[in-house]
Amino acid sequence: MFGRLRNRLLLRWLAARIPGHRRHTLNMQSVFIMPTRFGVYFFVLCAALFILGTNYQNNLLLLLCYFFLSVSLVTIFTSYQNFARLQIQARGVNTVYAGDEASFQIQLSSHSHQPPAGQLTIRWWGHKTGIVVDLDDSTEEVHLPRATFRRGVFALPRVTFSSLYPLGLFRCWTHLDFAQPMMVFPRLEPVGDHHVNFQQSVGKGTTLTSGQEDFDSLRAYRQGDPIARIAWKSLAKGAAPAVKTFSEPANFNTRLQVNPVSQTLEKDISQTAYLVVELTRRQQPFALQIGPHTYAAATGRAHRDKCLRALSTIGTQV
Amino acid sequence: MKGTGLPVKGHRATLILSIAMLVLTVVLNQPLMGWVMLMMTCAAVIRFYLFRAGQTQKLSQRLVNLLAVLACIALAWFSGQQGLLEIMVNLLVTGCALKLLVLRRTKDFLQLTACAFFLTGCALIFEQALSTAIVLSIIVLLLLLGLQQLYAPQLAFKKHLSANVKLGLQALPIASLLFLIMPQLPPLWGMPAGKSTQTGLSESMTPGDIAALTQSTDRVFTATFSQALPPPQQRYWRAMVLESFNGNTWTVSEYRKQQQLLSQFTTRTLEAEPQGNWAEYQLIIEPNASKWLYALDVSRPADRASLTKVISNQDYSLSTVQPVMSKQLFDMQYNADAKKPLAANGIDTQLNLQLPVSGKNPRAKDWAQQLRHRYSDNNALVDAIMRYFADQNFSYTLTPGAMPEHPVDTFLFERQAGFCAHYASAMTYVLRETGIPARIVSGYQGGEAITQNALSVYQYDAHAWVEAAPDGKTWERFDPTAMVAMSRLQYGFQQSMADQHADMPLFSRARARDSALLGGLFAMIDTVNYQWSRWVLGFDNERQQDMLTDILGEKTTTKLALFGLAVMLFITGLLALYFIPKPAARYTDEIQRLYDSLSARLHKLTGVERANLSARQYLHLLAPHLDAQTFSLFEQFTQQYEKIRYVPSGQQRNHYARLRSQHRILMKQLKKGMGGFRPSPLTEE
Amino acid sequence: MIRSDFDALIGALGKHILGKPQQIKLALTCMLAQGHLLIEDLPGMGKTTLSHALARLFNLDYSRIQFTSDLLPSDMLGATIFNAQTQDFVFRPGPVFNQLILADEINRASPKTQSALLESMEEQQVSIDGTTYPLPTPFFVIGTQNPTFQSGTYPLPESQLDRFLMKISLGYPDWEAEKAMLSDAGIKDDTVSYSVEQLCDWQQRVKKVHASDAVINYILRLVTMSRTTPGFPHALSPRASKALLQAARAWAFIHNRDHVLPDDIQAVFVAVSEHRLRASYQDTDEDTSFSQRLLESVDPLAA
Repeated sequence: MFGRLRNRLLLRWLAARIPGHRRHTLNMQSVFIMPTRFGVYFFVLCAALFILGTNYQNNLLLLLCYFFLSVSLVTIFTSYQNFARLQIQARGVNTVYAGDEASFQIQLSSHSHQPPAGQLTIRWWGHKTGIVVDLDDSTEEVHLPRATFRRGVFALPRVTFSSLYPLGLFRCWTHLDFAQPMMVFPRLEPVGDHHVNFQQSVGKGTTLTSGQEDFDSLRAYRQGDPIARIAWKSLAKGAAPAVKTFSEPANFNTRLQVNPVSQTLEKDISQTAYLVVELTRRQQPFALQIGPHTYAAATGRAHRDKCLRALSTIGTQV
Repeated sequence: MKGTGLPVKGHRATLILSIAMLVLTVVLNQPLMGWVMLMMTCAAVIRFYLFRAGQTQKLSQRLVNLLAVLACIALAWFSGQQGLLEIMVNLLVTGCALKLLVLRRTKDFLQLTACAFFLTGCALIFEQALSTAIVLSIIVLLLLLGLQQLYAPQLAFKKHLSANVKLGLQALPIASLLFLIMPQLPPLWGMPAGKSTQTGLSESMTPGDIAALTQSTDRVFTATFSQALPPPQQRYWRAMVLESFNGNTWTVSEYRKQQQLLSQFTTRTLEAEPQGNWAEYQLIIEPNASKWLYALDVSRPADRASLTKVISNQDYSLSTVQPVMSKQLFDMQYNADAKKPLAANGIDTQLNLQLPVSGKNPRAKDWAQQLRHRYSDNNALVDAIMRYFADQNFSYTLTPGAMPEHPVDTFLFERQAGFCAHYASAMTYVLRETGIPARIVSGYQGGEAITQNALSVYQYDAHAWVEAAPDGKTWERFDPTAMVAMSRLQYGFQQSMADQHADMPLFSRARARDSALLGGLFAMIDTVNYQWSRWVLGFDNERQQDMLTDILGEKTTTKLALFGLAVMLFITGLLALYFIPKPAARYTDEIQRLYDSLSARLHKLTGVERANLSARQYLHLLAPHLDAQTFSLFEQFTQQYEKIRYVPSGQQRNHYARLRSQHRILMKQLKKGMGGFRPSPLTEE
Repeated sequence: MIRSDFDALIGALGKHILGKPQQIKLALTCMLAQGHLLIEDLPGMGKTTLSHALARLFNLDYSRIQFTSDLLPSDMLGATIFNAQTQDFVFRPGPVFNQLILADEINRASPKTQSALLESMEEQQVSIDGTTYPLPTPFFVIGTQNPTFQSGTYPLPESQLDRFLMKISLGYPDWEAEKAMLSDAGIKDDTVSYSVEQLCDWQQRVKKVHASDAVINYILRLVTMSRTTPGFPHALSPRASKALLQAARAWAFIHNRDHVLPDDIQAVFVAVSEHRLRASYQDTDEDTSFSQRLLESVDPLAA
């Protein structure tokens, strides 16, 4: 409970301090720096050396102690300087189907003539583990995986970048908000073609017909395919049974319907999404109706994505 | 991050750490036991092998635990011979060696590095020579390099090295400054002293037991005189006075020891008006873990700083409050003409007529009786004894052979050959038998001029002489050894013993006399070491105060505060010098700089970033966020910018000037209209 | 050059291909930059119409070659035939000897035929039986291809894709455009027309459009980024950077400017470089285009 409140306050404070941007150049405002546990031990060590040096009246010990203190002082600046050389830009999230792992692409670059060095740990806000990137390894693009569970559009959480370079005495870190939406398409649930007829096209009685005129391509035979369409020629040559498919671009009569208040909404959405993908693969135009909204019949990837986007946001927005 | 595993093969950070550890072990050879060093060597070699070949077989945890138990048993077994400090160091090194064997995680690495840092500090307790300091600073840099390597494993080694050296060079001035101005505190509490570190003179002397005296060429101390060096005959450095005799062994008397302990707690005051001719000198004592100081007769602390550290004993010897564990500097003054009266309460007489009750040395006793009968005057008696040594064909040798039974008798009447201890012991014994208070003073005699006004005294200068009070009121110095080896007194031990050191090691200091080149080299090293001791190791509270007074004049609180502030500012300035980017290097193109500054300002005001848009696109993107006037100004600016950048005839002087003026106007406009901007709505998409 | 000239020209073309002003401009740019155009689209999207319109606009000789799997190079280039009357061999030029050629469904032909066409495109000449015949000027090829995942196709190899200056895709028209098309399909305005000489003159003048150092540096940064950044299946070749500059010049020219802006490069960049970057690489889940990514990560203004 307390942790949650703290988290929320922290996020609000961060939102004011480091507002969301697609691209971030690190500066005093966005970089935090604190000693690590090793850094604290290092100071204890310095104190021990000081006591030894004083008690043995040993100037060299004192000098060593002061040298260590100076090193840590210089290191604060070195680590900040190194870290602030980073320039981070969001490349976007690839769109996935719910349950798959999305990956957030981040481009790391430097605006300085001297590139940043050392290992960089990248993790999601609040996560314990993340990925480690070696900045000297010329990895410019980083993929940060994120598990997805539900369909919809989500704002990506903040990403924490941290670095211990050069000596591990201080940790430089920042929490960046890239203001990136993450699109998660519905889970795909395979369903046969024949289901379309009565499940998704209520009322109009349309069928998912394939074209009959232009020969398009061959595909593997599936049970229930009309015998007339079997490519006998190739079968005679000993090939696996195949079926001739015909395309009919002007056939605009396939219509998928989803009822947003259905009892089995999630299942419907998943099945419809599957059909959208399947029909697009076959280059067959289709229309999509979600409640009162209708998406005109079309085909192609853009249409597919538009439909999937519409499906994934059912119920999440007005 | 802390718990992550480390690769074994080809992990350079671990290799660097192992090398640093190995070198550190070698430097620490003094307190370390042989088997501990061997263990660390093994661990480092195994690490090296793993670096090359990778982990072929995992070292089992059980084996390492077994090793640890064995090591603990061995340490406990040997601990009796060692001081607490040594035991701690041995324990730490053993632990490090075992940890190095099983180093798997980042955490282990960091622990080891911290231990190594600490051990480096410990090494400085045992050794402070310039050469050691250099080696240890290289080790520190190596350890830092290892850490750097850990956090940036892929960075080219050359870059690591340069970053490392840069870090060191950047830290050094700050460290030096801190060293100079941070207050030098007195010891907070006493620290355990190692047994084996105690070197130099011993508090007991048994001349008869020593068959052959081994001569060490270690430096004992260096004295720097503010005036001319004392003549060689006066260079008697008193360390301790041996007053108690049991027939074989001379020791410091228990009474004196108690007095010494007591006076630690009494407040000591500086005599306000030194009478007579006092000459200042400065002692730099090499660490010897003992409390005895070496001083010319008669010496006393010259200033308050030394006074807090030095106890003046009743027998005219000086001792320190804390054992000298590291090189230390004492400011002293001496008066060669001062008289040394016996204590008024008769304790001196009582102590120095004490004789062993056993019937040892009967012939010497008889001889003393004869002398007593022959000479009624005490001075004549003493002269007679001295002459006896000169007349009777006594000789000086470092290898007199053992004289376990009746040592004085054997020496005086049979062997008639020995070194200072024999002479001093015999004479003191005889004098006591005749009823004249006498005692042995142990210390150093001589010294070698290393500069115009500095003397170095080495272990081989150790000497013992006699102090007697023929008149019963003041102590006088008699050196019977001088009667047989006058040259020792005048030219120092080295010259007088020229024929006896044929078996010295080739590159020893003693050898150096024979070769001009070696001699010159040693002289140079001596000078450097001397300056190192004097200015770095000997820098103490007193010198710090002097320095501050030199800078500030009279010290007032305000001045001190200002000085502190100045130092902090100086450090800040140094850091700024290191880290503020050089503006010249960043912007070569003025046009771009003008545009960038403007777009940065606009970004700040409107929240719309240019983000790799072209000038024109940015203008359009900004359009909804700017008021009409600003927009038209920015439009003009953008057009002018494009003209210079892209239009064939655009790169003329007047275009530049126009762009500059437009930039100025626009910046002013933006400053004026700060409030009038609509920030971008968060949902741009 | 008067701005309205091009506006009129684009307007005239726009009457043939409705609702695709951007693609028309790119096609025109390609023509002015003396490059060849590749259109990837499904059948029935207006590829033929576009090439027809272009040919008519400039009064170019036009021929259409329908590529099929059994089309032989000689069918396209021409062949030497024995003339029985004159008793000697006569070269009968094939359809490639025209000023504007529509190479339809280029990826249905065998690689052999494909390379014959692309060779002649590059060389602007045809060699048959040891004799070289120059191709007419201007010489402009519009190749079309079906989306590569269709069966029965031979995708063009990277090296040959590189020879097309641009690749565009027309796509479905929007609702309004299609409605307009259906309602008054017959009305086409052929009043605007230009001579071949005019086209050649423009082509020469495109070459003289000024490209400042800043612009050239921008192009260099773009191509360098494609070469040094991992994640691009193919880097941009020097030929690509040359094509980019040429196309940007033409784009600036039709926008009535005598100098190139970074905006011009950005406008043509996707058309010029996407097919070079992607080539035969098929990753259907990749949403952002490679060229868009390049554009986003390179600052056009840095000096």
